[in-house]
Amino acid sequence: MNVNVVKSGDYSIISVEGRVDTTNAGEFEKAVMEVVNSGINMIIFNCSGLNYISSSGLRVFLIVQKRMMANKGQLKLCSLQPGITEIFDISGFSSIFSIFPDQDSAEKAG
Amino acid sequence: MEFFETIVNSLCNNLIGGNAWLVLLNGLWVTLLISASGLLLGTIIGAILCAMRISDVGFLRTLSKIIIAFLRGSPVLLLLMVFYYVVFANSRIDAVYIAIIAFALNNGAHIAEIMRSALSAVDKKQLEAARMLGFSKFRAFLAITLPQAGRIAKPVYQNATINLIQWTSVVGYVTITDLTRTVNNIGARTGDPFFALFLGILLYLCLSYFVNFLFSIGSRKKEVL
Amino acid sequence: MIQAVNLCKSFGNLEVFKDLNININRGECVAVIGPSGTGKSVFFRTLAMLEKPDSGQVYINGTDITGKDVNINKVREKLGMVYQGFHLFSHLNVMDNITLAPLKVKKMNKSDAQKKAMELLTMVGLTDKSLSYPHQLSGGQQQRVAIARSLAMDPDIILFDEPTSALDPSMTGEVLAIIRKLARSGLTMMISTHEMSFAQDVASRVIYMDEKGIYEQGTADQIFKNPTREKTRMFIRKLKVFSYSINSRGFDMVEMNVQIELFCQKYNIEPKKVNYIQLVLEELILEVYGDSSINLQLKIDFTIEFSEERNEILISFVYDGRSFNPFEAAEESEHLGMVLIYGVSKNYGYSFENGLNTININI
Repeated sequence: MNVNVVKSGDYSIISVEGRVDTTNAGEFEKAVMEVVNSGINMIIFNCSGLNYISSSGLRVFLIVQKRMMANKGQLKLCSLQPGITEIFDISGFSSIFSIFPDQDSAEKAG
Repeated sequence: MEFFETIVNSLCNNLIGGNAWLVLLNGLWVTLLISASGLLLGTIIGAILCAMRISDVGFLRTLSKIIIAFLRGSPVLLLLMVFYYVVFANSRIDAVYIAIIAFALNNGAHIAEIMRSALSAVDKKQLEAARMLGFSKFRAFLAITLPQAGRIAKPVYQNATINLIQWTSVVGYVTITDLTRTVNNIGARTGDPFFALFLGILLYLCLSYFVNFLFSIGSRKKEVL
Repeated sequence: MIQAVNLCKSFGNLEVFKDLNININRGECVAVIGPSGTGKSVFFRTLAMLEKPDSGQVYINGTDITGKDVNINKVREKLGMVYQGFHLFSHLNVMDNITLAPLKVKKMNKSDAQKKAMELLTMVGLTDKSLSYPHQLSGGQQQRVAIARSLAMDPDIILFDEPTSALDPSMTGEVLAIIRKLARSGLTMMISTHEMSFAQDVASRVIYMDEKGIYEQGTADQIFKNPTREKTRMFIRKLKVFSYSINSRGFDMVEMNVQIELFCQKYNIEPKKVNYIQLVLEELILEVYGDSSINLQLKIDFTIEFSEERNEILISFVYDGRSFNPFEAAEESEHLGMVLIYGVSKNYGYSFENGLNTININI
C-alpha cells in the first residue's frame, strides 16, 4: 500500500495504491486521518492504483466519510478499478459515497 | 627452358640416381607398415580399453582410465624412445616392431576415447527397444548400437588415422628408415634438399588422400542405402 | 494372461510401488492413469523385466518370469512395448525397422517378413514410407512405425507407455486411432496415458495409480463418472489444491496472500477471482478471530480447490473451537465482511462436526 497526498485547486488529492487489507488498514487510516486532522475538508481519493480492498479498508473510508460530514466537508472518490467498483457495489458503499470516473470530473463537480 | 631443365635434372638426381626410387619405395613401405599395423593393433587395444572403461567392474574402469590418461598424455615420440632405449634396450626386436607397439598403444588410447564417446552418443533406448523385441543383450548391441556408434565415430577415426600416419614420421629418431628419413637422406646425398623434402610432403599428402578415399567408399555405400 | 503378485519396486530410498497386484485377461484393454511420477512407467518396465522387481512375481500365461532360469528374451518376443519417445532404430529404414526382429529373432524368411511388414504398414497407413528413415518422419508417423514394429513379432500383449505424450497435439489423433483399432481387434493391451477421453472410450478397465500402487480401479464409467476415492476424484476433475494452516491470530497474512497468488498464477486463475479468494479468506479469518469469545490460539486450516475443467473454485475453511457460524452471527447484526462474502460467492454452507467448524464456499 502506498498513500500520496497532493494539492490540486481547492482539493487535497489522496492517491491510494496497492492493497488495503487487515494488515495495513490501520496504517492507511493513520495516513488519511493526518490529512483530515490538518483541517482540510475537501478531499478526493484517487483510487486508480488501488487493486484490492477488504472490509477493513472499506471501514477506513467510512470513518473518513463520517468525519467529513461532521466537518461539513466534501469527500469524493474517483478512478475506481472495475474490481473495486464491484466491492463497493456489493457492500452498498456506492450509494454512500460520491464516486466519479476520473479526477477531472470529481474536481469540477460541485 | 632453363627452369624445366633444372627440374628435370633435380628429378633425375633425386629419383633415379643411385636407384633412389627403390629406397623411396622402401621408406614408403616402412611408413605404411608402421601406420597400418599401429592402426590395426591400436583399434584392438582401443576396443579392449573401451570395454574396460565402460564395464561394470570398478577396478577395470579405474585401471583403463589411468592407462588411457597416461598414454594420451605422453608425447608419442617419448613413448617410442622409452620403448627403444629402456624397455627393449637389450632385446633383439627389430626397431620397426617397437615402433608399431608404441604407436599402437598411443593410438589405442585415442581410439578408446573415440569409441567411448561414440557409444555414449547412441540412444540407449533403441537398444532396449531391440531387447523388447527378443534380442539378447549382445545381439542387440551388434545389430543396433555398434552400427550407429560406428557411424558417429567414423570421421573422428579417419582423422586419427591421418594423424597417426603423420606422427610416424618421428620414427627416424630410433634408427628406422621410413619415408621421412629416406627423403632426408636423399636430400643430403644430392645436395638438393628442397626437392627431396617437397617430394616427401607430396607423398604424405597422397597417403592422406588415399585414406580419405578408403573411408569415403564405405560411406558412399551407406548413402545409397 | 499377465499377472503381477505383490510386486514391489524402489530406487534407493524412493519406493515407487508396493505390493501391487493385478491380473489382466486376454483381450482386455487396460488404461493406466494417474499423476506424473506415480510410477506408471516403472510399473510397465517392471512387467517387462526391464527393471528388476525388489520382490513379487510377474506371471505371463502362468509362468513366473521373475525367476533366474527364465529365458527373458523368449518371453519378450511375446511382450511388445511402445515407448513415449518411439525409439525407432535410427540407422535403419522403416521396412528394416519392422523386419529386423522377425528376421533375426524369429528367423523368418525375408519375403515373408517383408510381406508381413507391408501388411502392418497398410494397417498404420504408411505404405509409402517403407523406404524412409526415422528422421524423415513426423513424430506421429514414427510412433505408428513403432507400433507396427512391435506388432511384427505377433505379441500376446503390448504395453503402450504414454504413446502420445511426446507428440504434437495435431498428431496424437492418428496414433490414438490406430491404438483404438487394435483394441477393437481384441489385442490385449495396457496403455498408460494422459488422454482421458481416449481412456474413457477405449479402455475396458481403468486403473488409477497413486500412493505407491493401484489406488482405484474399475470400468471406465466407474472411474470417470463416479470415482469413489478422494485422489481419483481430484485427478479426474483436474483439481488443483492449495492448503494452508493458521495457528494463531498473529499469523503472517501477507505471506499467506503471496502463497495464494503464486498458486493462482501457476494455474492461470483470473486476477478477479484471485481477489475474491483473498477477500473471502480474509473476511472469514476476521470473523472467526473477531469473535471475542473465541480462543486466540484457534487453529484454522483451509484449502482452495481449483477445477480447471469447470473453472470453479471451492474454498474449504475449517477451524476448531466451539461451534460458531458466522453466517448466523451476521444475521443478528450487520457484518460488512459477511456482506462481501455473500456478494462474491456462488453458494456457501456451514457445518459443525466432531468439534470442527467447516465452511464451504464456491466462487
